[in-house]
Amino acid sequence: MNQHEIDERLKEAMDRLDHLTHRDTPPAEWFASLVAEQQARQKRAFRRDLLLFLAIAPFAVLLTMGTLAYGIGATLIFQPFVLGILSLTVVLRKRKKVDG
Amino acid sequence: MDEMTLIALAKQGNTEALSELFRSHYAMLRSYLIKITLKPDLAEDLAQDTMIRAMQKLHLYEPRRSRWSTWLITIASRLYLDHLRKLRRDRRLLDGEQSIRQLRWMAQSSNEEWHELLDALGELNPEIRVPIIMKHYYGFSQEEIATMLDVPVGTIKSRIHNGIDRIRKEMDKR
Repeated sequence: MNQHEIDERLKEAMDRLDHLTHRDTPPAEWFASLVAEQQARQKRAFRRDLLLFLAIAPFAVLLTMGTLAYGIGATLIFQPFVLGILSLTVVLRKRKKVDG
Repeated sequence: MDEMTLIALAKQGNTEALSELFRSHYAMLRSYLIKITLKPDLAEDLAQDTMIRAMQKLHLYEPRRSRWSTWLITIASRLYLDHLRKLRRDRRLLDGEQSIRQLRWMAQSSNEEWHELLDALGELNPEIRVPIIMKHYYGFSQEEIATMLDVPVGTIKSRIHNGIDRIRKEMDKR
């Protein structure tokens, strides 16, 4: 069987598959609701990430400034905060996975 | 409204334009996914996942670099290959056999004639089947397929060559 014949047979097979599995396209409302739902989900995710950033940023700044002002010992004072933030991040990420 | 206008509007956040872009390409996308997966149910799930991924990555889409349909096909193909990577090897083989059996049953129950080449395609590893369909049915070049699947051109060439060889042998046997 040469390449041309294979191409022809492949086309026939694919066209037959199309015919066999043909289904009408869902109505426009279905696409509109898919888009609306996904946009709402993206907005929620963006808000959550922004809140997380705003929660972490002040501590990161404090930690940096504390280390610069009082030396490495200051990091020990901030350690409970850092651990708290890390735990919060892990919990939020887990919740995100369940939501997604 | 033409496709370029719809794309421009969708990129500006117009949800109606985006819905219309998806609606007008859904049949093409579903049909493409059925051809590469040979599974109508999985194809429908992947078509939906493709549209969701396209929405998430819409800001990265450049109409000058590829057509909308080509972009959707790229996303769909990558999602399918990712889906396969998550499946165990033995499960993949079983899935391939089951999907061909299901399609055969569909053909029989609707009195449609079965095409032997579908058996040969079903026996191929999907990583080989996908580039063959992209090249020999959709007419993409090997370089385009390599870019779309994010695989080296040499790998695509050898997959297509080996796959066609196996199809030829399989068809000669029948």
